Amino acid sequence: MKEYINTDTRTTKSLLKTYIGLINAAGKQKKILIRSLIYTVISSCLFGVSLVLLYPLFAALETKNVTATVTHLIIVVVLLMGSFIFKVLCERYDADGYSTLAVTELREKLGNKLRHISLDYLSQFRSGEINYLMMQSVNEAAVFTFMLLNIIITGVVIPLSAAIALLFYSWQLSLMMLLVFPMAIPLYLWRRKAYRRGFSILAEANAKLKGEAVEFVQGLDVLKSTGQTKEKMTEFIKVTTDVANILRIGTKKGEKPNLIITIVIQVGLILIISLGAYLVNAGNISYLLLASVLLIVARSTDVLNYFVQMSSMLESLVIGYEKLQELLNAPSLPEKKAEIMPDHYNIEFERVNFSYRGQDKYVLKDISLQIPEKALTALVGASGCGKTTITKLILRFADVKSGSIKIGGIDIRDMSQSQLMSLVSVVFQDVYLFQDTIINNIRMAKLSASDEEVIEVCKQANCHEFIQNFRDGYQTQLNDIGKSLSGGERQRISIARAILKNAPILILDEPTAALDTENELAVQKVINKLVQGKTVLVIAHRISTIIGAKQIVVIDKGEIVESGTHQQLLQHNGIYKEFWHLQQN
Amino acid sequence: MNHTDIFLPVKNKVSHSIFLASIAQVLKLSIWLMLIWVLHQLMLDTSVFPGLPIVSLLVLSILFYTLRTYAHDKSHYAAFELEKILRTRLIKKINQLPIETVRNMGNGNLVKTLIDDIKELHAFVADAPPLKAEAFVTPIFTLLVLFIFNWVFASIVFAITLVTFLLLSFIMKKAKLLKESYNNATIQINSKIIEYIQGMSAVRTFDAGEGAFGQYQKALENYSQVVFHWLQSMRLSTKIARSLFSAMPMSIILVVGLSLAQLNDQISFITTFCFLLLAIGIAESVHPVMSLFQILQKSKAAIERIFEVENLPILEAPSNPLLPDNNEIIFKNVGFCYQNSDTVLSNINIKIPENSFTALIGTSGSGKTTLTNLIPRFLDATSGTITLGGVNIKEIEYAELMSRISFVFQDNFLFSCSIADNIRYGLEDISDEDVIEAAKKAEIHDFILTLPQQYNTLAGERGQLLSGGQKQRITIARVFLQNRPIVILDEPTAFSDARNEALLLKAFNRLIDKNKTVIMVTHRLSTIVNADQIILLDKGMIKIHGTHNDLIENSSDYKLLWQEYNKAKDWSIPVNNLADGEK
Repeated sequence: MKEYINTDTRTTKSLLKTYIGLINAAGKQKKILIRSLIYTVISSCLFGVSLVLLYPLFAALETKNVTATVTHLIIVVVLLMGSFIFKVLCERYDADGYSTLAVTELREKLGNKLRHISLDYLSQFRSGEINYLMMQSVNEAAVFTFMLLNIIITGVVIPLSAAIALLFYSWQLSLMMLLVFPMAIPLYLWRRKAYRRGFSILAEANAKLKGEAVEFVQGLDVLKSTGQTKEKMTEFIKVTTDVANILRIGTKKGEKPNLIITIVIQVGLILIISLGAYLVNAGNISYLLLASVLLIVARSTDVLNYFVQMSSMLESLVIGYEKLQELLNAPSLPEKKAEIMPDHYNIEFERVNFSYRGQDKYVLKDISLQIPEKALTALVGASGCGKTTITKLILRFADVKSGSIKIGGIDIRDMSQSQLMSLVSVVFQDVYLFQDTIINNIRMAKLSASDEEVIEVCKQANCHEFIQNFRDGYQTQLNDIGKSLSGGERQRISIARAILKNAPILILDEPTAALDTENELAVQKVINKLVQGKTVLVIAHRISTIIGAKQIVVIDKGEIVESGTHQQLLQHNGIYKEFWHLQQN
Repeated sequence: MNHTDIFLPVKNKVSHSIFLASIAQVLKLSIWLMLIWVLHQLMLDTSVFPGLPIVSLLVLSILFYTLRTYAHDKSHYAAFELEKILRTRLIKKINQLPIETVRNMGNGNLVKTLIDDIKELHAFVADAPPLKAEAFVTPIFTLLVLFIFNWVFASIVFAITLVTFLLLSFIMKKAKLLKESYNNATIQINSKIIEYIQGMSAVRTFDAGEGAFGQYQKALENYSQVVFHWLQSMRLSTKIARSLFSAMPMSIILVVGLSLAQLNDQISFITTFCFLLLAIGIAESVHPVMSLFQILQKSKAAIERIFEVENLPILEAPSNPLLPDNNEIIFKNVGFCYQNSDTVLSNINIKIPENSFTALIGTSGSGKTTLTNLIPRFLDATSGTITLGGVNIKEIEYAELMSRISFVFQDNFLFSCSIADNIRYGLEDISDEDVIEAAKKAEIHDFILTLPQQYNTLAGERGQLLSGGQKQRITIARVFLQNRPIVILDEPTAFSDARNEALLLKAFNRLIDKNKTVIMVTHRLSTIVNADQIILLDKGMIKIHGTHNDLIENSSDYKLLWQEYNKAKDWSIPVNNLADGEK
């Protein structure tokens, strides 16, 4: 099982920090959560005390003292009713929906965070991991925490308050109880570490299992054609067996310690009973007091055991919550609001170095580059050479490691994200469409645009016609047909967005490569219009598309190796010339 | 459908656990009886230490906890085993499904059932059975004992329990209605969250994500308002329902009743004590199951989804498999449409002779890729027949059919093993030299050498260093090793860069072998000038059909296409008038 050891998640944090962290997860609802938990404490206290106060009631009953009986009966009943009322009240956090508000708040916080951290940071998460954090972990942190804390508080407070109340009747028994009950705590701490290790291993194994499942299902056609379904299936079955074994071993390992804990607690309780019996023998206390002690013991047994069981669940919540915290604490891209916005739109790279998070290797090395305004600049290079990274840096998907990028003389880090984005339109190769109407998908680029405006840009982008052909036209929901839009149609929607946005800078990532001939001609026509009067930066795959560029920049392994016009570059015997000849054939 | 059917593979273990848990509960009751015995002895003679009851208490306690832990673990082991059994069963099932079904279900859905839904079962299998036994056995036995002590009060306890249950089931029924709307709202909000996360890099380019975040926020708030109001509308009943099975209500009624009865000499102190001790335990024993209620609802939904996958129809194997004796492919009146959807292909008649080169062209959405998918039965034709070497492909054993076809798709999946192993995937006894040889033919060797660990570099989800074109060339290298008689190529429309494109075309050309039947989907008319036949698809039908020279001469459609192709190829972004836009 060594393959599943992950040192990051194995170590436990201090107990207090953990609990405080979990309570803080409630955000604005923290007050109500704490109040609810306090109600639980009060309810449990009242119940614990009522158990002790059964003794004077029993005594009054024994002597047939009617007044005393009624008095004590009233006291006990009042305490119990109080306990019940507070119990009802304490459910408030969850049952009245405040936990839902807490969930929403936490998701809002996370959602906001997501749009302020660098996408580079975001890309380190495995696919699906963020989904899990935002749905499952948030839910657990905000809802289950309450449920579990409730159980744990009940388990601790009932015996404790009873023990303290007992002080008035027999200090020996009270002392004994105060000695026995806290025994559960060191035992709990001892188990906590083991739980942690177990959950950590399990999480890794589960991740592996998921990976295998994804591979099997996604690669099924390849597997079938290579005749490897059986082998891959065997692999999957091996990992699922591993998971079952880890779970089994975890349970098996926990079996004895859990048994020891419960039995130790039980023996402690029996010691209390024995002491009580001894004190009765010695004439120190009445057997009636022992009766109420027996009731305390009986009521405490269950809650204590429940507490031991639940503490393992709590630990698994904590692991999820810690990941959540990590994301919330991730550094945001520092953001300033610019006082003055640029009035011209040339882009200037000054000695820019960049490496992706957690990697030493620079993907861009000492890039100095002038992208003039109202002209076409093209980036050329093999895939992975860094040309896409250059466009990502302009969009501030991540910040440069050193050097600077300026638009119209203003450092892009001195603008807010929305200020920067108002200057740039992008047409990427893969077009993301939302599960919304077509019109809203286009309007996304300019929320204030009227329907007429949207339709106008669609006409310009040559997508009006195919949109009209859908039954619901512009109101067509994209979730049903999102996939059946062809690459060209998606691309044209993306171009419509860019036209609508009408930003002074335009970044094109080889916009026509994904198209068939018919679509390609249509899109080419649109681009001809789109580039008018703008600072245009193109990532070119097909060199013939950019031969007229004012400047062609050739990038290789993160460095600018050549730049100039088409004619100038052909004079060199460099990469550009090689590319050009490769494509001419 | 019965939810408990899911237990069947581990039925014995689960019943065993339930049995042990029930016995444990009887022991628990006897522990309480020991407590009564302790008190009773001391009442009889305060000077004698109740040694025997205390020792029995100790022994019974140890027995009880051992047995309960054992029962608890037993059902957990059963749950773990069941997870394994179900996943094994399900993955075998998925393997038998037609690829079409897998694609229709969506990869995500199947993985979810295979992993998450099965995980959801845990509470249903592991926790519920012993707790249910507890909730069932304890009240019955306790009531039995109480009836022996005092039937009047026992009846009262019984009545209270009954009323509580009835009240509870009434509230639960109400809650169930709410639960459904709540679940729907949850599904909606979840899809909104996923979309927001997945579209993150896209939304940031519009307006720094403010618009999308605003929408996301609005969706969240809507959801929370709706849920909040529902919960508020029935908050009192929910809270009472949750508190009913705590110890307090029963305690209050009993304390009052018992005290008055004892005051009037109707019962003795020991009876009072007995009832306070035992009756309240009934409430306690039901409480754990109550807290499981929500989790169990989720488990049930998961079980339904698992059964759904298990009931999907599988790809039928031929009863009398036949062997084709050559590799000629014939489409006879073939049509295809997706379920409840428009026709994708209709009336397709093609003859693809052995060792010929056939090119498929047409706009995107014209059905080219679908057509190639019919040959390896990734999709089954909905009308007409496809024969291979004279045999209907449905009559050929699936593995046999597969062993004759190599294909290179636009989107090629690599496994998370080394690149070398990806190249020789599924083939035995392939030396490293052979792998390198194939990589060279596929024009990927030079690239592999630039990778950190060269041929040993890991591919797959985490190794995302490979572009689509590179993955495709790795797949082509595999095709060289497979050396199968039929090759299907789906050329990608997008290339990542000029060099990649040139290399890929070179590799493609090597695959077009005189000794193979090659079917190629392409957008690049220049590559198919030499094809034995060119098929132009339009809206799912064959529009024209012939060699390049034939078509140039006889088909105006093809001629137009050829002209457009050349025109598009020569397009460049206009630059002369860039500044003119300002005027």
